[in-house]
Parts: sequence; structure tokens; C-alpha cells
Amino acid sequence: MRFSHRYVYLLMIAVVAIPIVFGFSTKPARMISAERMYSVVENVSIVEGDIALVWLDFGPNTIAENGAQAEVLLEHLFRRRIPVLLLSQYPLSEGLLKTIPRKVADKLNIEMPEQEWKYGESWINGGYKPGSGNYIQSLVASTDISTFLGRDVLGMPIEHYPAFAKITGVEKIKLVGEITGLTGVFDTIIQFFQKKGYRPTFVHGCTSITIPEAYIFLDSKQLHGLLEGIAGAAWYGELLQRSFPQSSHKNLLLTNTALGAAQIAIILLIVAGNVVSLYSWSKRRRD
Amino acid sequence: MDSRTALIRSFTFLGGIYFFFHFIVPESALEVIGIKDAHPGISNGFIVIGAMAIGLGIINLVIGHGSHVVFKRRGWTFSAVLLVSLVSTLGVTTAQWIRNRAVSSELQRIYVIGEFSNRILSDASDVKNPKSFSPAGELPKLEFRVHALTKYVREVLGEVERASIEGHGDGSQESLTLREELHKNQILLAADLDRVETVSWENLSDSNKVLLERVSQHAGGYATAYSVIRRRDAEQGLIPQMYTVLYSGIFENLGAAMFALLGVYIAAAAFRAFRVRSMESTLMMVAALVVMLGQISFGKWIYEDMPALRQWLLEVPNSAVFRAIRFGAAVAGLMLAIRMWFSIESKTSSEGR
Repeated sequence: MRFSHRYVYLLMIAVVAIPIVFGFSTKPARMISAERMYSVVENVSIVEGDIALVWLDFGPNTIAENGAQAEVLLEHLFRRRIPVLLLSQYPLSEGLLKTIPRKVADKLNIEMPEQEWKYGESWINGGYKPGSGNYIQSLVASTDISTFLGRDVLGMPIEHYPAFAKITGVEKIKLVGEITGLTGVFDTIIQFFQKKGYRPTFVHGCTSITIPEAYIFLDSKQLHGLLEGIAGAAWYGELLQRSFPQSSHKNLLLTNTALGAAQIAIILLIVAGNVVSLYSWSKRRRD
Repeated sequence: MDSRTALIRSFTFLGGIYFFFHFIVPESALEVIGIKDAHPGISNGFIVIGAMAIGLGIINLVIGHGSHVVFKRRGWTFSAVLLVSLVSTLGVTTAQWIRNRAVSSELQRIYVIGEFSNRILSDASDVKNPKSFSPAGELPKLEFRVHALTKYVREVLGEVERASIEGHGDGSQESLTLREELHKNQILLAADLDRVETVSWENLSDSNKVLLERVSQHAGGYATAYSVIRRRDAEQGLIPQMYTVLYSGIFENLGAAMFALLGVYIAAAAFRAFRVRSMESTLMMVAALVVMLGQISFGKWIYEDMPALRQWLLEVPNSAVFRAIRFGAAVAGLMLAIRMWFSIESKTSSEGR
């Protein structure tokens, strides 16, 4: 049976567009690994001088999934007033390192005008760091990370920012987060971001494609929490909203609903494809 | 084997053996032979060599696509678009980097005020420090250092006034508040300086201590307000706007659109190719359905425990299989690494044979 794939493309566009255009969203599905991650971030205890390190290792190609994950993770860390150092192993994330934390801070500043989240206090952007495993090993071995990092992307010495001035060693990094859609990048952190007497509390956000790989590290407890694609980010947003009722993730819920509709469409296409194939086969046999 | 090949082989082998031994030799032994202290430098050297690949990539792109454009080969217009994009992005990001560095240097001059007064205080207060202030100490006299501080602060305040930053800004309420904050701290700092200049600095009395602390505090407030204003100004220029257009306006959308095509291809493939013809493909389809339904809102409408079932599939059978795949890949990776270490794999080394 001849069938133009254009109809499939049209169907997909319609299925994805309808929830977004008409603003129809449903409650996300419960994601147990995202719940673990929420609990880990919620229970990280910090004292003055401690920070969280978040690697944003993704570019515009996976922004739909990884961008949403980065936003919910940063929102949670900002709400908890944990200073965040942002770094990347992926050069194309350079612009996102600037825009994503700014977006989250602007949202919180509007939500709570009596408080302030700003660059230099709530977060700093260390930028893209070449060298992968070598860089991570040097960072971990450093006894004065503030000096080791040198300057932020604005060219300012890290020591000028009081919240980040005294990162005396890797032990000051109480939480490591890594958001990526790339394979190999996440493993490097698992492999090298540790030393004798120190293993980080590690959370990770991955795209739907790399979920199976991430689960082995979750199972071995080398990973303490996981955001699985948009679905994970949407459930994390739901958990944030339970704790902070004013927190809204309307766009994320819309995207998640659109994705859900697309997956239903794919399931129906698989069934339809098999039915058509079975029909053709039985027809050939009859003839 | 020619000398070039021998050189490449030797460097590859030495690089490999260095990291191999660094990994397996105990830390105490590395400390004894002095490698532990040298390692960050060696490691940075490798990072720098790795970063050079970016430069090589640019040269490669320019040569490859430049020749397409010059000789007007098939598809040369795409090459031209690529080269124009490369040059414009490189130009805009370089200009922005230079601008940020200039603003940072300017801000550092202000931040130094607070650090300078704190340093004078700590040097003068710390009697145990051999280099701390004392009339016969190695450091300049307190009086001299305070005089240098006041002279420096007056210079900086004059520079900021000359820059007449009041003339800039977007006129918003936030911008006006920031300028008011800057002005307030400027007045307080100037008043502190007047007082600093009228008292004796032969010794660090308690009142002098408080005065220096006030200078540090007001200088901090002044620096913070000024840095926010300068950063905001820097974000409003033509170059940042061009960067936003290039990155957020064009690159982000093109990148996301390219990846979104994947979804459409998967849908087409689902209809045309995903056939249940064997036990294995049936298993695969069932697993795929459970995983997909378990992570979407509609899944629990079909079966309440769908998310839990999905979680079990990922945690148990998937983890077991993926571990096996990873072990296999790791052994293959090890073999590949050994071949690279001994230069068995590379074209350069095989040329000599």
C-alpha cells in the first residue's frame, strides 16, 4: 500500500501544536527518579562558603529537554539560596549559560519583589572549560578553587564575589549537577569528579535518548537523582509547585502535554502500521 | 620509519605512559618524585594542546569552504553562508569579550579600594605577622599607606565622575534607584575620606580602625552599585544586541528545529518500519509501549501503576543489559586505547610500513 510520509509529518505537527496553541495541559506522570533528585536538592545542607556546581553541557539542539531541566534545578537551588557556579564542557552552551540563570532569577525577582536574586550572589558563570577529564581532575585536585577558576566570563576575578571567594577545596562543593544530552560527557564527571575522602552528591538531567545509560549509575548510587527528559522536568516542576505554590511552570506543562500527545500518536502509528501490514499480508495470501 | 613518524609515536607513547602511571602509582610516591606538584601544570599543557583543535577546526573550515566559494563549486552559496556566519559570530563574540574585559578592569579599580583598606587594617592589627605594620617594620608606615589610599580613592571617584555615568541608563525606575544608591555611597565615601585626612595615623587607634572599616564598607557599596550600572549599560549596546540576534534569534532556533526533525522521522519510521514479526520484536514493542506510556500523563489513565512498571523496566532489565553493553564497550575502548598508545592505529605510523 502506497502511503505518503507527508501525512505522518502533518499529523505530528498537528498533535504537537494543538495543546500548545489551545493551552491545554495535563498533570505530568509521576517520575520516581525526579522525586529522588528533588529530595536530594532539598536536603543538601550548606554553611557559608559552600556552593553547588552545575554543568550545563548542552546546546540549542536539546534545549527543549535540557533547558527545562536546567530551569527547574536552578530554580530550586536559587529558592534554597545555594550559590551556584555554572560551568560547561560544551562550547555551544555558551549563550545558554547566560540566558537560563537570568531567566530563572528574573522569574523569582518578579515573584518575590522584596527579595533579590542576582549575578555574583546567586550564581556566577565560569563559562566553557576545555580539557574535559584533564580539567575536571585539576579542578578536583585544587586546594583553592576560587583561584584555580581565575575569572568568570565577564573577566572578573572569582574572588571578587563574596559567595564564591573562599572555595578552598572541592569539599566546598556540596552538590554537583549535570545537564546534558551528550554521551560521554556525563561519564567523565562520574569518573573524575571525586578524590580520596570526597564523593559528590550528584544529580543529572538527560534527554530521553540517554535515559537507559543513566539508570546504571542511579542503580549503583553514583548518581543520586535523575531528570528524565521533559517528563522528569515537568514532574520536578510539579514538586516545586507543591512546596512553593506561587511557582508556575505553565510552558513546561504545555510542552510535556504536547510530547505526551506525540507519543500517543507514535503508538497509534505503530499499531496502524502493523494492522496495515497484517491486512496486506492476509490479502496476498488470499490472492 | 621517518623522523616525523618517530616523533609523533614517541610523544603519543610518552603521553600515554605518563597518565597511565599517574593513575596507578600511589599519591605518596608521586609526592616523593615531585610529580604531584607538577601535575596541574602538565595537565594544563594537555588542555592547551586540546584547545588548539578549535583553531585547527577554523582553519580547516576556511580552507574547505573557502575553496568552494572561490571556485564556485556546487553548493558554494551554502559555504558562503557558513563562512559569513563564522566571521560574524567570531567578530561579535570577540568584540563582546573585549568589552567585558574593559568593564571588568574598570570595576576592579573600584573593588580594590575596599580590599586596600581591609589590607591596611589587617596588616596593622596583626602583630604576629612579621610583615605587619610597625614603626620599624618592613611595610611602609601606616600614615603613608593611608595617604596612598585616600589619594587613590579621590582619583577613582574623579574618574567615575568624569565618565558622567548619570548621562547613561535606560531611564527606568530600577536604573534611577541604582544611580541614587551610587550617589549615596559616593557622598558617604567622600565624607569618610575627609575624616581620614583630618586625623593622625601614627598609630592604629580604635577610632581609626572604625574609620577604615567604614571606608571599606562604603567602598563596597559604591563598587557594587557601580558594577551593576556598568554591567547594565554594557548589556544595552549594539554588540550585545547583535550577539542576542545571532545566538538566541538564529542559532538556538535552527539548532532546536534540526533536532525536532528527529521526532517527525521517528513517527514516520514507527508507521513504516516497526513490525511485530518475531518474539524479540514483540518484546521490544511491549517494552517501548510501557516506557512511553509510563512517562506521559495519559499512561495512568490506561493503568494506574504504569509509571511504576516503567521504573521497574528501566531499573532492572534495562540496567542489567546496559551494564553488559558498557562492559563490552569498555573492553573494546581499552583495546582501542592500547592501539592508539602504541600508534598501531594511526595512518601516520602505518605510512612507514
